[in-house]
Amino acid sequence: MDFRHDAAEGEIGGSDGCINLNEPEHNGVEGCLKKFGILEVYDKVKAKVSLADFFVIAGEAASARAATHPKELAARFRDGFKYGRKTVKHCPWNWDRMPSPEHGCFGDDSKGIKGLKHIFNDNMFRGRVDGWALTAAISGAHTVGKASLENSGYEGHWSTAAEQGKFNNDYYKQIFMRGWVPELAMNGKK
Amino acid sequence: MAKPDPSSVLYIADLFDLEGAVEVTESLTKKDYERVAGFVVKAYEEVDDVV
Repeated sequence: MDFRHDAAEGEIGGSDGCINLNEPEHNGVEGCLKKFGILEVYDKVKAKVSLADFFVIAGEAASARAATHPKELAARFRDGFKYGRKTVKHCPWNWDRMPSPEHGCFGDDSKGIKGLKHIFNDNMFRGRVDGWALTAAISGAHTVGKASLENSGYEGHWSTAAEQGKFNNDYYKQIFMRGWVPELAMNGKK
Repeated sequence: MAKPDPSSVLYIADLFDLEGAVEVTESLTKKDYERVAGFVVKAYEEVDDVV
């Protein structure tokens, strides 16, 4: 992701298909790409689609597949898709713009919202009046997937067993409607 | 945060074989989009423990 901003033009970045997999918050991404054969899938379409566009389509395809009404969401994604993202192979300018222990996130999750503010409000959605709303929306992605000990040091799902793997609003329901407290020490993490 | 040592960086693009890949998509029809998305979904579904 390119989170750079230009003083005159505002946001100049966007999805460019570039992340550093060796940053702690990206633990597990490489394994997932290989496990699901995504590298081979891109081989089939690379003459037509940029890697940057491919990542967006792949994300949309996975989200739609997990949705309550897959066909409807897939059609909405398809109809709203705009191609033209340029693949960026290397993005050294993005260092220090991702969540990190210094920013109170990923590696020191006990600090909670501080990391969300850094990555989303201060970078990705910088200058937008609806920054916090967008941050809340993107956090809903937790409704699918799970944390793994080997990647983050945490383990478990964010939604109920019955709703696990579904792309819906169960993550928010869990936060608001189910009693919970943060675990400050889990599986050896501080 | 200290700037990472370049030798410790692994960019996601480095995992992919980009030989012959377009840098920018020049055109993409709805059918093209469906084809790409279909490949992705099929790849997911071929893995046993996908949720």
